[in-house]
Amino acid sequence: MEFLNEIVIVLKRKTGKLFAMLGVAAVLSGGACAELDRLSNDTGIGGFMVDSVFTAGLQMDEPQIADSVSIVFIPIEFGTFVKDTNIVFSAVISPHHGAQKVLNIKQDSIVFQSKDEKVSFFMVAENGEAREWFIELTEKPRSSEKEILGFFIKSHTPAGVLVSDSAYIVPNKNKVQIISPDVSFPFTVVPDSIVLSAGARLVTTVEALEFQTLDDVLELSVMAEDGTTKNWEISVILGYPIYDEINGSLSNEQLYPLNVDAASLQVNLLDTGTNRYMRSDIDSVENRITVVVKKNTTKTRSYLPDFPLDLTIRFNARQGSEILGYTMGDTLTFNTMDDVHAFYIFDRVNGIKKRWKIGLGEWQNSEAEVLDFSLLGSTPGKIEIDVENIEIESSLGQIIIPILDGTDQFPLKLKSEITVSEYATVKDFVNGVYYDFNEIGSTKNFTVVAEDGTEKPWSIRLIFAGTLNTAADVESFVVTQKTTPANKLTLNTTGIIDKAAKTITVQVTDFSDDMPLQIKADMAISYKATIAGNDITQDWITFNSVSDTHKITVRSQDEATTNEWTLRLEDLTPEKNNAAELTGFTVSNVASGYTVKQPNVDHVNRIVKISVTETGSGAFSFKAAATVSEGAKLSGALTGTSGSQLSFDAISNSTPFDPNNYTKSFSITSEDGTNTVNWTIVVSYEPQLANSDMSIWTNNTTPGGDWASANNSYVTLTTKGTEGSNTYARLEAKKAPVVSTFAAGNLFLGYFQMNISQMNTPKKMTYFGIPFTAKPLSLTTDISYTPGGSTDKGSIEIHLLHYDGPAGQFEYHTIGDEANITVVGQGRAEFGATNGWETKTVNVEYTSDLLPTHIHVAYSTSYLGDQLKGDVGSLMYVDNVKLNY
Amino acid sequence: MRKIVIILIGGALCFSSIVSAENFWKNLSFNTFGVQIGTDVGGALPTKLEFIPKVFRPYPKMYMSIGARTSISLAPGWDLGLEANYKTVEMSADALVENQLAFAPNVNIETGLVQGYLKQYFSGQATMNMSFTMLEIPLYAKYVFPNGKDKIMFGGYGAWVMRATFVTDPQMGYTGSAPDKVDVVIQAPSDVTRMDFSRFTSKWDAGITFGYERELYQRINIGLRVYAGFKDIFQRDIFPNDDSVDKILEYNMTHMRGSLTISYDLFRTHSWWRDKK
Repeated sequence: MEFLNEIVIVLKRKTGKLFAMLGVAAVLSGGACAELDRLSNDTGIGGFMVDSVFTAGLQMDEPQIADSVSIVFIPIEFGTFVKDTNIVFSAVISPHHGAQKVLNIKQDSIVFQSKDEKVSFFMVAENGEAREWFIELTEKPRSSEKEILGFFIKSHTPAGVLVSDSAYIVPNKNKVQIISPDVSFPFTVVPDSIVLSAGARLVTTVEALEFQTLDDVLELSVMAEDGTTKNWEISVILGYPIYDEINGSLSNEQLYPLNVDAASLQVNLLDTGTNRYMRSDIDSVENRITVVVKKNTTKTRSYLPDFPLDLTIRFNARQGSEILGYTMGDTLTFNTMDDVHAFYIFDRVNGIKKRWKIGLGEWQNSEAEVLDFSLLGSTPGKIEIDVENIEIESSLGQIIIPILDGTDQFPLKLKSEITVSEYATVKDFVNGVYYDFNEIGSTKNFTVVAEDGTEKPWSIRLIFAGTLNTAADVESFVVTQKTTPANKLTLNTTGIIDKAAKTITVQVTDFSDDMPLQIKADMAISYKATIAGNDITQDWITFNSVSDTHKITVRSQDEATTNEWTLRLEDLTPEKNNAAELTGFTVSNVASGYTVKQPNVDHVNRIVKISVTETGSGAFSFKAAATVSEGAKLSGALTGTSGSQLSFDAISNSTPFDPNNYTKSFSITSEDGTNTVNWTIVVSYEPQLANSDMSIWTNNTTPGGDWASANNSYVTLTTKGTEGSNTYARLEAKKAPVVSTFAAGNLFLGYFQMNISQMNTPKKMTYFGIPFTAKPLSLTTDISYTPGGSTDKGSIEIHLLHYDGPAGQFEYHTIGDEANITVVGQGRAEFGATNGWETKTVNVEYTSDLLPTHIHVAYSTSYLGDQLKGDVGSLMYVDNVKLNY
Repeated sequence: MRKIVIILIGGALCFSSIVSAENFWKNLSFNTFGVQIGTDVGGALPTKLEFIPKVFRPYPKMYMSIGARTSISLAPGWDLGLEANYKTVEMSADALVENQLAFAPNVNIETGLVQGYLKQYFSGQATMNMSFTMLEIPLYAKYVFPNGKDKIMFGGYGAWVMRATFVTDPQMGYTGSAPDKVDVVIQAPSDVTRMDFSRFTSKWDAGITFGYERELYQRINIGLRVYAGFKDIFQRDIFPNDDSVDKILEYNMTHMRGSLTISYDLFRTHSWWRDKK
C-alpha cells in the first residue's frame, strides 16, 4: 500500500504542476501577457535630491539632471579645507515615470574620493533596458583675478609738489607708479581708493605709503577670490623731462602725447565785460599757450586788457598722458602781461614729461578786408557798367564789377578807391589810378596786409551782366553746288530745317545710285551765334551714301547754349521693285545632234533642269534666256535679257556622265538691289533605250535596238506580238530539248552567243548590258503576264554598271565574278499573273558613288529561268520600256 | 527514472485490479496495428512557476510527426497501447526576465572541455529558441467506452532526444554577478551575449502521457494527447570540478507538449465491444 500511496502522491504532484503549467502556457500563448513592445523604455531620472551631506562644512547646490548626456551635475562649494577629504552624502534618486529601478548605487551613502571622480549608477526601464548614469561634482566658478585696476591718491606730503591724481599702473609688470615730476623726500602718499579685480582684496590694509628716496619700492599684496595672491610694486617716478634742445631728437609721434591738443583747447575769460578773448596760440617748441586778450573796445589801439584778469583753460589730455599742476577749469589770475602759470604734461607710457607755460599775448588786428569800393571813373564810355551792383565778396577776395553792354569796346580803363580794415595797408593798388581791363573776366590783383602782418589777396574782376542771344540754331541751308559721278542724282537745293530735331535735310529727288555726292552750301545761323569746331560749309561736303550724315555744332552768343545739328540726305526717289523672280526660261540653239526637253524650273530649290534625251557628236551647248521681275538684273552665267550661250563637255554613252560638270549658276538681283537670289542650271542626261516601244523588229523573232533574246537558236522563245497597229515583244517559256528540258522566254539588252562548252551555264552565253552613262531612278514597262503553272512568276531586272577595264572587253553575265565591273545600282521585280496589260515599275537602288557606264535590263517569263526552272507555257508581253529620271 | 517506474508499475497494478489474472491471460490477444501522423505544440517550461518570466510570449512551431502504433486487448474495455513516434517539437519565445541566474560554461575552444563557468544574472529582454527532435515511445492503458468509439488513455513515455537546440539571445538589459547588479549593459543582441546551451541538453526524456481518442470512421482515429516530462532537459554534472553547481540553470525545465494525431489501423483482429455486439 505504501508503494501505491507513493504512486498516488507522485501523480498528484506532477499532474497538479502539469495542469498549472499548461494553464500558464495557455494564458501566455493566448496573448494575455503584456506585449514587450508596449513596455516603457524610459530610463530617465524623475528626481535627484541630495538628502544629507556628511562631509563637514560642505554645501551642495541643487543637482542639475542632464538627460541628454546621462549626467547629474551637483555644484559644490569647494573650500581649501575639503581638498583632501572624501565627499560623502546621501541622495534620493527617483526613477522617471516609465523607469523601474535604480541599481549599482547606495543612495544612503554616495562617496566621492576626489572631486574629479564620477560615480555611476544604472536606471532600468520597464522593458529591461538599462542605462548608465553618472554623478559629477562641479565647482562654482571662482575668479583668480588679482589686478590693481586703479590707484587714486587722496593726499600727499609735502603738499606743494605736483602729484598725479591717479598712479600709473603697469599690469604686466605688477607695478604702480606714482607720478610726481618735482617730488621731494620724504614723500608720503595717502591713497584715496585702490580699485581691484572683482572679488579680490588687499591682504593688508594700506593707510599711507611713505617713500624715503626715489629708489624706494613698496609692496602691496592682492588676493584673488580663489585665494591666490600677487605682489605689486609701488614706486615714485619723476619722468624724463623734454627740453627744447632735445625735441629734435624725438619724433612728432613721440612728442604728440606731450603737446596741447589745440582742437580741444577752450579759454574762458571770467570778466568778459571788461576784456575780450581774441584767440590762443599754442607753441609746442616754446611749450607755451599764449592767450591773446584785448580790452573790450572797438577801433582803438588801446587793446591791452584790464588787470587783474581771470580766465580758465580746458583741453583734453591725449591718451596715455596726464596733466599735472593744473586742474582743468581752475581759475588762472594774471596781474600783468608777463605773468605765467606752469603745468606738466606727463607721458605715462614713455615716462617723459614736458613743462608748459600759460601766458598772455598782445593783441593786433588781423583783419585784411576791403570794406568799401568806389568807382571813380571809366573809359570808354560805351562800355556800360552796372555801378549800383558792384559787390565785395570777402570770401572770394574779389570786387566784382558787372558790365552791361559794350563788350566789343574793350579795353576798359577803371579808376577806383578802396577802404580796408583798421590798421591794414594795401599793396599793388593805388586809389585814383587807372587800371586796364582787356576783356570780360580780366582782373586787377592786389594785397591787403593786416596790422598783425596777415596778408590776404584781393582782385577786381569784370563780369558780363547784359543780355546775349541764346539761340544756337541753323536758320537756312541752301545747296549752291553739287557733283556726282554720273551727274544723275537730283536734289532740292533748299534744305529743310527742323529746329526741334536739330536736323538739316537735303531731299534727293532721284538717287539713281549716283554716289558719292559732294555739295557746297550757304548756311545761316542764329544772330551772333558761332560754329564751334570744323565749319564744314567752308568746303565740299561729301556723302558716300544716302545714310551718311554730318555734324554741325552751333554755339549761341551767350555761349550758354550749344546745339549739335545733323546734316543728312533724304531719298525721295520713287520706290523700286524689290522682286527678284525668275518668270521664264527658254532654251534655244541646242548643239547639233542633241535633243533636250523643255526646261524644268524648280522655284522651290531654284534649279532649272535641262534634260538631254539624245546626244550629238560634239560639245553640248545651248542658249539660255531668262525673263525676270521688272527691273531685276541677271548676273553670273546669264547676263542680259537676250540670253547667253552656255557650253558643256560632250555627252555620250561612252563617257561617264558626271552631273557635277554640267551645272551653271546665275543670280537675279531685284531692281532696288535689296534682294538677290541664286539659281542653278543643271543639265541632266536622261536617255531612253532604243526601240523602247518594241516597234522595230528585224524579223518576227529579232527585236531592233539593243534588245536580244537567248535560246532563240533552238527554240523560238521571243517573237513579235501584234495588237492592232501596236507591236510588242512576246516571251514564252517552252521545252528546250537540246539545251535543257526548259527554257524561259526572255528579252534583254546585249546579245546571246551560243557556246557548246557552256551549255549547262546559259548565263555564260548571255552577254548582258550595253553602254549607258545616265542614272535613271526607275524603269517602267507595260507588261502582260500569264504563268504556265502555279509556281512560276515573271521577272524584270535592271542593273546600272560601272566598268573600268580595258575598252572593248566589257563582259557581264550577272554571275557576280565579272572583272572590272561594279554594280552601282540595281532593281528587280517578280510578279504573278496580270490582269491584261499592267505597268510595272522597278526602282533602282544605288549602292555606289561610281558613275554608270553600262546598263543591263532583262525580262523573263520565269523568275528562275536562269536556273532553267519554270513552267512551260508562261507567257509575257513586253512593251513601252521607259527609264525614269 | 524511479518515478517513471513507479508510475508504470502503478498503472499496471490499477489495471490488474480491474481485470483478474485468469481473464487477463485468457483475453490477452493482439488487437490492432496502425500508422499515424500528427503534430505537436509545446516545448520546455520551468518546473517552478516563479521561474516563468513575468512577460512571456511563445511562438510555437508545428511540424508533422510520423509513427506506428499497436495495441493488445487485456480485458473487456481495456487495451494496452504502444507507439513509436518520430517528431520535432520547436518553440521560440520572447521573454522579459529578472535576475535569471545562469551558469554559462567556460568551454576550452581547443579541447572542447568545460573548464568552469561564469555565474551571472541576467535581467531584460531575451529571445529563446528551443527545438527537440526525438523518437518517442509511449506505453499506455486505454479504456474503450462501450460505444466502441471513444477512448481515454493514460501511461508513460520514454524519448530519445536525437537532436536538441536551446539558445538564449539577450536583446537588451544587463548582466551582473549578483541580483540587481549591473556589470554589463546589453543594448542590442550580439554573438558575444548569445548563449547556446544546446550541447548541454539531455539526450533522453521520460514522463507521463494521457489523452483522448475517437474513432471517426472505421480504422481511422483522431487523438489528442498531452505529454509531460519529468526530467530536466539539461544535463547534470557538467562542471565535474565543482560540486556546488551541476547544471546550467538554477531551476529545472521539463518537456511539455500537446499532440494531435490521426491514425489508421492497418490490422484490426479483435475488439471486445465489437465482439460483444
